[in-house]
Amino acid sequence: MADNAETSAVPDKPIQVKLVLLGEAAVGKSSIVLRFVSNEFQANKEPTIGAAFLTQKCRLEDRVLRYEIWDTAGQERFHSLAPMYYRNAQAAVVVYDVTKATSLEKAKSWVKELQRQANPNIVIALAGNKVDLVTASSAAGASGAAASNGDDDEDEADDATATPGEDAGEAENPEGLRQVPKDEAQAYATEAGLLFFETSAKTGEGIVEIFTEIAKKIPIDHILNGRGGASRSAAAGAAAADAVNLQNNAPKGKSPCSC
Amino acid sequence: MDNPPEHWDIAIFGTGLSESILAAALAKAGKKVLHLDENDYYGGDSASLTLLELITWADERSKPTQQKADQTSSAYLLAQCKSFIDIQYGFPSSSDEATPDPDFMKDSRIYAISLLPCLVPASGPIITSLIASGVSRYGGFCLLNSVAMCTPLDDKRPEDEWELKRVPSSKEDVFKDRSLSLLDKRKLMKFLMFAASDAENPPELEGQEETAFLDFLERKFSLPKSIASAISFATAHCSHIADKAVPALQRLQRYLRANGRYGNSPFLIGHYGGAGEISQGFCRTAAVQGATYILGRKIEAINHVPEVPAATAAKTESGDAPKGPHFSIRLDGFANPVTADVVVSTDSYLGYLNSVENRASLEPNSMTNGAHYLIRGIAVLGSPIKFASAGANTTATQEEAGSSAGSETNPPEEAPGTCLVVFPPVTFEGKAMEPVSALVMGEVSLSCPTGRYVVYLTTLFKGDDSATSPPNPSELLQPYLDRLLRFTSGGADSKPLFVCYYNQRLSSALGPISSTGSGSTILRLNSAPPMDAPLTEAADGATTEAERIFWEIMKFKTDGDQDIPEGFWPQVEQDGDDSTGVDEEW
Ligand SMILES: Cc1cc2nc3c(=O)[nH]c(=O)nc-3n(C[C@H](O)[C@H](O)[C@H](O)COP(=O)(O)OP(=O)(O)OC[C@H]3O[C@@H](n4cnc5c(N)ncnc54)[C@H](O)[C@@H]3O)c2cc1C
Ligand SMILES: Nc1nc2c(ncn2[C@@H]2O[C@H](COP(=O)(O)OP(=O)(O)OP(=O)(O)O)[C@@H](O)[C@H]2O)c(=O)[nH]1
Ligand SMILES: [Mg+2]
Repeated sequence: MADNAETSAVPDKPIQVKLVLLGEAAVGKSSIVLRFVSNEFQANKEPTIGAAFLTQKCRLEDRVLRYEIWDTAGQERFHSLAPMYYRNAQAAVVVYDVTKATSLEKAKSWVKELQRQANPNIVIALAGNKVDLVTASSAAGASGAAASNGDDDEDEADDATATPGEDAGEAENPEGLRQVPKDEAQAYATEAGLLFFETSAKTGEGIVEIFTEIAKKIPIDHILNGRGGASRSAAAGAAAADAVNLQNNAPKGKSPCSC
Repeated sequence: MDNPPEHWDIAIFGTGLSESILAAALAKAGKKVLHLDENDYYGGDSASLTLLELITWADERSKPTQQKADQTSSAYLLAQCKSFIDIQYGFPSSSDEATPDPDFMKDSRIYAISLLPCLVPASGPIITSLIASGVSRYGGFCLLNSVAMCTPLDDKRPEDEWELKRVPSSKEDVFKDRSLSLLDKRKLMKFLMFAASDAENPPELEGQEETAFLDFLERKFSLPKSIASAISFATAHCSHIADKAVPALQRLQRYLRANGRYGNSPFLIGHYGGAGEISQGFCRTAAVQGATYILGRKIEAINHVPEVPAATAAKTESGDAPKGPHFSIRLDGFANPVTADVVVSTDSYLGYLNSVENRASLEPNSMTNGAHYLIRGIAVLGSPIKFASAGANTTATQEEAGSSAGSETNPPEEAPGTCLVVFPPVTFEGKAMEPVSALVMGEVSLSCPTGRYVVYLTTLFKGDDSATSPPNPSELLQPYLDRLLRFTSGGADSKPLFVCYYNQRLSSALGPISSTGSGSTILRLNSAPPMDAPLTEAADGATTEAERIFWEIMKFKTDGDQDIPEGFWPQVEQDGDDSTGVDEEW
């Protein structure tokens, strides 16, 4: 990372944490970040290309974390995520859609991939998103959303064809849309050692919690002693200190990067 | 897979450094890019691999000769088997040399072993591109800590003792170096002043176009052979004993200027294996700009379609379909072919081309060109190289000249985290040997576990004609590795944990790519490292090649209604176009 230098133990400086997002297409990864970073929601969010690198500070009791959030940039479409994506990530949010059973299976395979590829101390949170679609209190909201945006229509149509038996009574009982029971996902998360939340990027439910709980669980001392790479010794910390930041000595006026 | 038909402006085959830079630049320029690689990892011939991946890489490229009939060998692998030959590997320190110690393999993933080891000059095309594209945010670098020369104590007897001596990296170092006589220092400073000057057509260079750099240094600047040799091979990084003065001086000038930009070395080393990691950074940037990535899929064919059949044209009114001549690419497991106007391919994928007119012109012109190779070795050592630290005197040269035993009285030693050891050309058993370089990377490069050192040995073999085959890489390089081991804290008796030797063919000049008509074209991208200074010029060379292809495409693709971009990388908007840096507290 170009900002290794910032990681060194200056107490006032926020602690830099790289967080990666994973999950099937259209489960709401980008929407979760958008809610967290800007407290916004877009009903018709395009599949992600473009914005793929966001930062957000998170204050927690005595310390400030600065999340550097990496979105997949579509490279997962053909399972072509680069090892660089996982490299030195201290946290991951693996997202599935509570109204789509297959998306949990996909999430499980991402967790496996993380456990294989990423640093062994990585904190992984599992997020069951779009819970607004299945909670009674927001049922009206959910149908309102469906009326106001085509995507959700499509979404529901998808699910309807997937599980035709559940069509009946959907309007009165939003739980009918649910394909992933909460306790099933919770059981899996506990077994796999993951943080678990049900979230809605739409209402904001559970979003801030994901990031604060991750912040609590991250082994900060470890980060301060040397960035990421848990399988390396503390000497890797020295390596980080030795690291060259290309932006630092870029000729004045030509430096294009604002960060 | 039931994929919908989809059309791209450009399909790029191979995710090596050059191809990846190109993909990012094209995507940033607004082109719709499809980027493919038959390997399931990024980086192609410049990949950084784990130990296990490297072993698979080696096995795949050495076996197909035995299983020719085997249908599983792809055209890509067959081409790779011609590019990477005589591959052999082993585990010398293991009880059974052919089988690794399981403890050693446990760390496989911590290794990032580079197929394109490089030293990146601190200023030049690749650094400019890393900064201008924003890719520098994704990857880190460290400085090359030291450069040393390893020379025989007696030139006439290279089979005897060799010594390791640090090469000064700055003028101050030259002053401090007590092994240089005052007169030599003066001559050296005079040369360095000359090399660093901007003067156009300096008189010293008049009529020297054909002079070898070594001769030039000895004759024009009266430098003693040892110093001339250090300048040629350890400072200008000449790869050949007869390298010419002019290009060597141009390189040297760039390196002298690069020194100091990021610290006391002209060269940077990329973390996690360098080129492979940088390739991934450019690919990510391309993806962020909308490029599509398909890795690890076998390619079945690349067909040129000179005309769109009327029926298809009518069917695909989506605007996302080819409108004229194009390439149709069949991928294993894809129901529909994908299409692109322009194909950019490295040599390894040219075998998939069907029915392209003038295909012959794409094939290596092996009859007329000599085949050149880089002879490469990779070794993992369990202890660092040690030598006298900066300013300190060298071991054996003065007080105890000739004595090889004394180690107690040695001045302070350093075990640099990264270093380059250069063996100048010698005549060994009547055979003239080219210079050999050994790039040593420790943990600071984040490419190996604590206490391990990855050594990359490289030397050039120039074949007179394509019939000359290169020497056995292990026979040639192992004596150099043994020499190096004497200078590790483990000593001469220590054995490497892993070695791998191979010969990498440098592509010979190919005929120019003929355009396949007005609507579509195929361009051949040369991804091979350069013959001159392969270590220090590979990354910049890859960038220059990407830029060349970029402009070819821009010229070709501009049908009047598009603007040719002003630069290789777009001017940066105030905020950086893909980094929405919302930095609020809550
Ligand atoms: C040429 C091609 C080749 C392919 N090859 C492969 C392959 O090799 N392997 C593979 O696994 N897949 C492959 N695919 C399929 C591809 O991975 C899928 O398109 C991808 O999984 C996205 O699926 P999707 O249609 O659900 O979402 P998208 O097509 O990404 O969704 C489009 C939009 O629809 C909306 N939407 C869709 N579903 C939902 C939902 N459940 N909830 C809310 N909104 C939703 C969202 O707004 C979303 O942004 C290929 C596709 C193409 C076009
Ligand atoms: N009702 C509801 N819709 C949501 C929620 N989160 C996301 N969506 C919608 O789901 C769609 C996909 O959301 P994205 O954030 O683009 O999903 P993504 O996982 O980033 O998708 P890709 O980038 O394509 O992988 C969008 O139309 C969102 O508006 C949610 O919590 N509730
Ligand atoms: Mg997204």
